[in-house]
Amino acid sequence: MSQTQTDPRPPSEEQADLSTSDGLVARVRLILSRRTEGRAVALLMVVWVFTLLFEPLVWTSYEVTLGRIALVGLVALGLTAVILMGELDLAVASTLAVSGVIMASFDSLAVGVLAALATGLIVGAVNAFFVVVVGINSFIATLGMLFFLRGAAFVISGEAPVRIADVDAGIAFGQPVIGPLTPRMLLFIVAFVALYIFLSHVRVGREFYAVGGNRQAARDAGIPVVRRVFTGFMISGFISALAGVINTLERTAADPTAGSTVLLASFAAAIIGGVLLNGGRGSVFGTLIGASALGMLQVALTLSGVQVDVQNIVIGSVLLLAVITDPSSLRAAAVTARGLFRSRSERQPTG
Amino acid sequence: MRTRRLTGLVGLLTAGALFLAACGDDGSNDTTTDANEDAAGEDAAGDDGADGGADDGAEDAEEAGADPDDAEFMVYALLPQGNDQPYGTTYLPPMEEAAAELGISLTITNSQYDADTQASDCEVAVAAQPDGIILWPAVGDTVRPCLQAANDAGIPVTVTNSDVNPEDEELTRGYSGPDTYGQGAASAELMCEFADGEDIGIIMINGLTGNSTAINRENGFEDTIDEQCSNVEILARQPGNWNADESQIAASEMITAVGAANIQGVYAADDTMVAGAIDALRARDIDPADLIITSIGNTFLGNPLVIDGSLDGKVFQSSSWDGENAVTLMHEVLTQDPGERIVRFMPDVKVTIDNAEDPDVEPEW
Amino acid sequence: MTAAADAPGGQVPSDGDTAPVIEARNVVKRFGGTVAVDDVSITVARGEIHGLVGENGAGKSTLMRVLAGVLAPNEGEVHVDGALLDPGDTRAALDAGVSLVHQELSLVPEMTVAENILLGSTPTWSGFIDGREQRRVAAEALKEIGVAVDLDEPIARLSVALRQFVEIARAIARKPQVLILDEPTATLTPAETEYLLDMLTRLAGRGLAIVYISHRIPEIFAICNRVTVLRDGSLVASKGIEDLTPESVVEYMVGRDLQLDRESRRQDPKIGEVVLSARGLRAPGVNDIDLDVRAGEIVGLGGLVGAGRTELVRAMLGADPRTGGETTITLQGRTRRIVSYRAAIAAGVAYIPEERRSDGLALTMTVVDNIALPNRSALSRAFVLQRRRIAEFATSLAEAVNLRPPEIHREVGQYSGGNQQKVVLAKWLGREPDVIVLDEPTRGVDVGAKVEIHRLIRELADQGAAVLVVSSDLPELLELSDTIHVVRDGRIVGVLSAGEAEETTVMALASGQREVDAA
Repeated sequence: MSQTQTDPRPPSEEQADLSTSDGLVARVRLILSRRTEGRAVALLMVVWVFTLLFEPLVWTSYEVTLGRIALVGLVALGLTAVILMGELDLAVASTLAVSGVIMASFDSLAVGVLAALATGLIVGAVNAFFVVVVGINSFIATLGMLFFLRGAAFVISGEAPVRIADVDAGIAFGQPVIGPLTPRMLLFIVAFVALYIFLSHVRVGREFYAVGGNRQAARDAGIPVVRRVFTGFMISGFISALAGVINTLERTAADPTAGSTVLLASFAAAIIGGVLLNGGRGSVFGTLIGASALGMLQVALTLSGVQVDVQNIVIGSVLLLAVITDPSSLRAAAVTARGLFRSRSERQPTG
Repeated sequence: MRTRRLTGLVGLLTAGALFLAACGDDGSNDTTTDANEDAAGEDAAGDDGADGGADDGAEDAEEAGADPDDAEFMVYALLPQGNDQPYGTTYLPPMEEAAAELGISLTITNSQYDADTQASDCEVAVAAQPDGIILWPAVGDTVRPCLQAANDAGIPVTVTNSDVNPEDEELTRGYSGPDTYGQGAASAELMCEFADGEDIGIIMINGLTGNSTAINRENGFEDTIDEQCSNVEILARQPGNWNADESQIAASEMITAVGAANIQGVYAADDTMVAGAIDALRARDIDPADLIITSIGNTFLGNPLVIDGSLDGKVFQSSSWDGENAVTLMHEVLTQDPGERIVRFMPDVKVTIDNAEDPDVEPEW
Repeated sequence: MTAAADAPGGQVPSDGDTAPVIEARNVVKRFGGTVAVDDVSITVARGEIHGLVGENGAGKSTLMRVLAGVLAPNEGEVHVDGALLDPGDTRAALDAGVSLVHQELSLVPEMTVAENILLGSTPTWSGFIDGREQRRVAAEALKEIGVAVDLDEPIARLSVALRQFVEIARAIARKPQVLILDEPTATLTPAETEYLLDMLTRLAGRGLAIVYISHRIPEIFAICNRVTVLRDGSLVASKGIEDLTPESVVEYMVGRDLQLDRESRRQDPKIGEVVLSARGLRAPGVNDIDLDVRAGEIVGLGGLVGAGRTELVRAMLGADPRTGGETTITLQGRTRRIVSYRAAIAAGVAYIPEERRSDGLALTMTVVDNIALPNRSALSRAFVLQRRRIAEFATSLAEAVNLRPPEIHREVGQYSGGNQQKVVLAKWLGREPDVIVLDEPTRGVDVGAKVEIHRLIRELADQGAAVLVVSSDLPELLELSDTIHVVRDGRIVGVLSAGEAEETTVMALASGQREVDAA
């Protein structure tokens, strides 16, 4: 047993600290400090200021902006469920494409939509099967799925866009139904609310955090990890298929090459929203904010006539910024900086 | 106006960077990183008047267009490619030059061939209420809602490079660009000519699957072969996705699948891909000069191949013609308000070793 | 002295008055070819605190995981309250009332205290989380162990010690009959440890059966009623605490007499010229230090945690930047200034930092690769590594440090902590360093390995190396060092020779007679 003596420290030390700072301000600060969306909110505010000053059109034609946010954000919401468990789903964009093609292959729109959504669920289940039952790393399993589904989309579509059975219904689908809200935006809102409740107030969803944060602990606590992973991948597959259905309806045709920009944009939205790629940390609320910031930025840059290459530079920079301003990355950077610079002011002695 | 916007953007994003860094810094008292951030902030402040480094390219592109303040018309050009592809790189400057001359302020978007992104770009464009929209469809079948929205907003749309589907033509005011079907047909005519009645087998490398240019060229080529020279048989076909490497792989696979001895000809839907296919042949020790090879384009990559005899013939496509006419057609629509839909095809000039060095087919891209 | 001869192999003593709550019968668990637990039977009665001890790799953790239903045994069975436990079913074990507090903290960092306490048994109302009930149960469990934490605080924001207590609260919240704790005090301060031990005694008093696993013999004797000792997967003793002494427990654990090793300070060390020397050294947390280490001498750096010893060592070797002063290394009459860590290495310094996992070893590489890594140039002839020679070299080193099992082609990550530390030592031993600096060389290492490591350090000194050791383990410091420098607030406040150093004098110097702010 160690003979070193330190101050006798009661195990309730932190509690004592808390009770002394029990003002409203302190309370709010405490709650804020526990949220993971801080950086996304900061970015969103910067984007707001920027757009208000230089591109007010982003606000005056808000329905366009909302449409773009829904476009960028929907797949990201489903992806968040998977990333929270520390897994990746690279197949989202391909799922989107293949479900659109399947939907357009049916003569009846209703049957097509159901078949497409079922496809999403099946794809999710197959992904989960490879990840938790076979035990393949999700990066590799879903990468395989990415290629498989992309190929399948080409084969099913005969390598050409497939027009949906009822083009007029598709065009009508793109029109606003409630105020300026199109069905895409409404579905996006519904998906967000449902996932938000699921991941924060439903036991199964909340346990996603345990599966991602400390999988062994989740197992030891008797959480059926395999089932949770299945649920997560199926959510992601379903949402991707939903996005495929919406895109196909709005475009009046299913394009087997669809979604080429979806994968990276969804990951970017989730990461900017503070979702940790290793799992266990983040929220769909963060993803929503990330998608909003990203969507508004894209619209503003497009309106300003900024070329897509430069847009990519901007978005890439934002993404890197979001990652390097992560407190844990900052700590790592600080350690490196300490090694590089001699001017060190304070450091906790460690031994 | 634009310059100010962009400078503002750079400044604000830098401010955002500082803000984020400050937020993320929560709990870490590292003075060194703070000092660095401060330095970065000062740099950004210094940029206030001057251009931000990363944005130089974009601004140049913008400036080349026109001074928007005294532009007569504001036009959005929704393209599926830009400086990220060789064709787009040489398409854009003549387009911008023509726009400057004609007093058109251009805002150019690039959807990178993603139909959903282009649809969203289209929504943005319609919301901005420009005088006109020039559309280069990323996927022909998916542009109808965009055309409908523009029509409803009373914004005229002209199409460039690859035309919309026949049923959507009524929603557009004109088309300028290559007759993609005709190009395929012209390339097939060359193939027939060189085959000269002999029974030959060829392999076919097509463009990006689903892309309307790819589909039209493929159909044009195939229909013409069927009609004019049934002695030419298409043994195998694969997409090369407008890309030399992918085309090389596709060609190599088809040579293996069909057997090198059975192949007497190669058709590729553009010059980039034909170069890849020729590399694949050379890698198999097959002299491309012994085969009948045709393509479409006449690029810097393809033209020397015609001169050295590896490539037998091709159909010239001028990216500068394409870009320039996109704007002139729109200008015509805006100023003269012609009653009916204008269709302006790029002339299909066949390039063989006889005329490969003529100035009027000088490669552009 | 009562050597392994009278170790009772696998006896199950039966107490008449208290029926066993949990009983393991003839449990065998193999991993591939190795037998981790070999035919072990134990019983724990209500209200009993049962100590489970053994060196690292003796099979304690495996046995415990079998008891908790995490692992299915190859043979044997576990009964709880007389009913057979479904092997390898965590859920069933939990339902039967067996709760496990892991060695590696098994909390979810981004979830709140309340959520973690009820993880896996979250109260719900038709699928939705019943937040109020969750907080109520969590608060009750925390109250039961007498720890106050904000229920909404994410675990990631708690201190390591508080996490340990939350972990225990979680086990308690399941209303267990049997509580199994694996090294719960490894990360706790003495005061917190004391608190924990009191708490366990209190819980046992209320009829809970507790299995307590620890390296720390004094803790075992402070709270346990019964002790079971494992060695190499087999049960070597299971006795009431009154029949044991700390010495006999250690003997059972290592299976040999440690008295000689333990009590021997170095006799007549051959101490030569000053090799490693620091003058006026300044760095953050280090104030104007002069320090000399001579050839063949072991210098110990004592002091409280946070006194600046690690900073001193790192600044001295150039591993961290200095703000003033200089370090020199004098070998064969040649003095070199140490301006950087690279220079230190080049001058023949071996530095073994505290975090051996991150700094010292490549865990996914084999023992032989790890040992050969720093010795590559010595072993390669014409730039070609000679496999046979390397293997022989590594084997001899593995034998020298008594690596167990001495399989040099095994991945280092598969070895226990003590054995990993031996690999680190072997790695540097192979270089025959002139200066060796060790920071907490035996932290988290079991008794047997500790003795081996001490022996190795002495051997290095006997070979003429200048040795500098940082240790918070006072007996270790006293036992190893020829000279002890006591550090407080970044200053050397006392230099004691082996003869005059006592625990009390060192502590008095280290604490400045008064409480020192540990922050």
